Amino acid sequence: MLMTHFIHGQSLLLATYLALVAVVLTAAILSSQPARPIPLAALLRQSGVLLFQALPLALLLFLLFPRLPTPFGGLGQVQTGRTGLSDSMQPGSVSELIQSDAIAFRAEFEGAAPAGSDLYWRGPVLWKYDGRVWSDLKIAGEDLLEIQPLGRPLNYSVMLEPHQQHWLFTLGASSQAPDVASDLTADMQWLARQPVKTRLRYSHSAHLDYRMDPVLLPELEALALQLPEGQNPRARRLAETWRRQAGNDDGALIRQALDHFRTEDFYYTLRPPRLDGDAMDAFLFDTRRGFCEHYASAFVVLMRMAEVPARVVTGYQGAELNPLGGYWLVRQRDAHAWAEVWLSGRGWVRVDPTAAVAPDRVERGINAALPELERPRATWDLAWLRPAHQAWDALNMQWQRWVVGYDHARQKALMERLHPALASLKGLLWALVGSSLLVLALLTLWILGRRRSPSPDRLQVLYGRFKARLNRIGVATPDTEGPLDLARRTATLRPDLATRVEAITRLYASLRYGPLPPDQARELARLIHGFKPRR
Amino acid sequence: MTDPLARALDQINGVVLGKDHQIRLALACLLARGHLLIEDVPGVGKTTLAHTLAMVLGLGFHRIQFTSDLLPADILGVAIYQRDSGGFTFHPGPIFTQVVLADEINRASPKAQSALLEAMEEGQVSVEGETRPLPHPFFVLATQNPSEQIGVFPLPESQLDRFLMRIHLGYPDPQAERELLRGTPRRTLLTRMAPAMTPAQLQDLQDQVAGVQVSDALVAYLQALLAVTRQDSRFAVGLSPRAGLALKRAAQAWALMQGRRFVLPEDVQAVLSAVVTHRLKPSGEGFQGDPEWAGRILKEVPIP
Repeated sequence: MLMTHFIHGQSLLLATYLALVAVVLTAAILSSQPARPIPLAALLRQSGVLLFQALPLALLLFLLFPRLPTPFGGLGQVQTGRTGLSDSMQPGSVSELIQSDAIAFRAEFEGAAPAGSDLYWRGPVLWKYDGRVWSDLKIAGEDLLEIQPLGRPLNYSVMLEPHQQHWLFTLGASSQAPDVASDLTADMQWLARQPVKTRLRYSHSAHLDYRMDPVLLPELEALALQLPEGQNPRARRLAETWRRQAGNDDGALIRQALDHFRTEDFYYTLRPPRLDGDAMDAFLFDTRRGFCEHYASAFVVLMRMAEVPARVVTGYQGAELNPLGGYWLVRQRDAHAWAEVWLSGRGWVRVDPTAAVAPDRVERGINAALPELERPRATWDLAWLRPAHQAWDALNMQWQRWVVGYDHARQKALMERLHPALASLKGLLWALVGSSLLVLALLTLWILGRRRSPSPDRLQVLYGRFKARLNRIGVATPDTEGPLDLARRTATLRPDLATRVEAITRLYASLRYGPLPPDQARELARLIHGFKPRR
Repeated sequence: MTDPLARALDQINGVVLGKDHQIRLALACLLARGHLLIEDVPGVGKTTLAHTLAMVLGLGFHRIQFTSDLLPADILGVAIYQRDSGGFTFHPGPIFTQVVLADEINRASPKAQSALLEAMEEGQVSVEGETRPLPHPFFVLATQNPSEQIGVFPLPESQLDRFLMRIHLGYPDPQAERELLRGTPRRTLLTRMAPAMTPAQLQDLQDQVAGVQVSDALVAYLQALLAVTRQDSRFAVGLSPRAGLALKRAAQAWALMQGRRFVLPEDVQAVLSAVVTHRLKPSGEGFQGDPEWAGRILKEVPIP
């Protein structure tokens, strides 16, 4: 019955809670057995010991029990109602995410991690603009995309939190798919074939240096220049002025646009004023306060007005290192929007207009870029809680990786490494039965052995502690002296301790050398715990 | 403490003054069904102790004075021809009693010594081709002058091994000596003495000794003690397994006398000197049976 909980969730917290429940339930079963009542603490401890003894077997079953190649239809950890990026963007949609410190995904790099300013995690690519809302077209057609990798590939893996959508966030560019069932769109989005409803781990190999689409197909060019008719006349005039000044040099045009954002009076803020009427005109010439989505969309609109093919890319920018787990954490508040423009000969090039307004956003993360008052506050931002939070997250990551993530493929790989015969279902079952019997036999031997001699080691440890305490108050305790002699000598040195020392040594002597039942050891432990003599 | 034992100790202490530990050892030795060798100069109360023990325990007592011309027949007895019946009749020697005091055993020839020692080991004697059992309990209490005196035949090691314990009485301390000089003569005290227990009670106590618990931890301690004498270069010969058994039995008796049903390391330590020093043969310096050795061993072997 307990196990059914794992259908709804498999988190470390739940597993810990269920383990505790198991202890209590076992204690309840134990309490119904004997005629005489047992104190609660003893019951709980007994049941804990019982479950602990079952641990080796459980571990074995975990490792060897055959995993199904596919999960039960749709069962698993389904989470709903989470915030995340969507396939459309309008003013305010990203700044909402910034308020959330929920985790988007965790990433691990093979080798050194790239610089923070290179960490642009690509998500939805937005083409269509209706004057207010940007939307993703999800243009199918892997063959429409051409990627020429430059430089060495970067290998990394991502543990993606469920976001109910299809995107797999990736760095740079690559035509090599992540190792989960996924499709590539013409604008370099990796889409998982199933919506990501459970935590998903994938590895990817990407190039931070690349050339994308050196030749732009006419259909795509048309999409990349699309604008709603007759809106934003002031912006159009500005763009046309720039075009005239730059001539055919698209690069100069881009520089001019970025300079405009940098030198004019633009502010980076989470609380931009409402934009009425022609949104871009209002933003560019009146309010001049905005967030990354404002800058990205204004920039792309201006580029399109100046006949430069451009598109908005959303995703996440930056990451926070968890030094304990050695991995990088990307939160919802790292959500970001930037632009890509197509330059002839160079293909699609990433341009981040936000970096022109607030360079700190890219260099040092979201908190550094925002004015003090607007910084999102969350409990884990308290400095003293941070290490604990990081440790907890690192623990969770390992749990996900080794326990929840131990699936059919991983089991098969591990078994093949151990012994080729284990790779088959039959071999696995034989190994399971054989090793379970072995573990049971060992456990039986251990329990029988314990019954024969009532844990002499524990007695020794207790008595050692007692002697150490006597030593501390200046009573020598040579190990060639018997317990009663020690008591006698202590009584002459410290008459005030005589009765307690005698009680302890007498009990110890009867436990170690006499016929006293081993459960008296608890009494000895109690006496020695309470024995704290002062000089 | 078991009651008759307390009474017995009390009575003996009233006669042999200031020797509590030695008296306890002697009694423990008897409870462990072992024989006792008392080694000391004449006149310190060896005979008195032996006599008192026999009296207090209500046992028959004979004394054999060992001299250089003592013959085995003087100990075991002889068969003499009877003219009336035309047959031989066995006349039991002084050994047919419960407590035998073999006084100055090292004065006799080895032949006489071995006659006694065989009886001690077997609990029976063979005279004229006939085996005769000795009474029960049978307890030999031998005294011996220290071997540096003239005109003695020291007991060989193999025969020393037959004695469960060897003790020294030593001179009484000043207070005990004062009481001795002032008090009633010991012989008079002895004649007034009543037994503290019946032979059946003694038998029962002896049976209880074997039932005193020896735990694994204590066996480990015994083994450690034996091992150190075998590995150490200071000893030419280490302790034999028989010595180990003797040590265990003596410690059990000692524990019973303390009123305990299990043996503690303290019990082993109390009897160690009496049980092992006459069995140890040091190499090089140090003479055989130096009681210092036991103390040194105890200081070296930690209690496991």
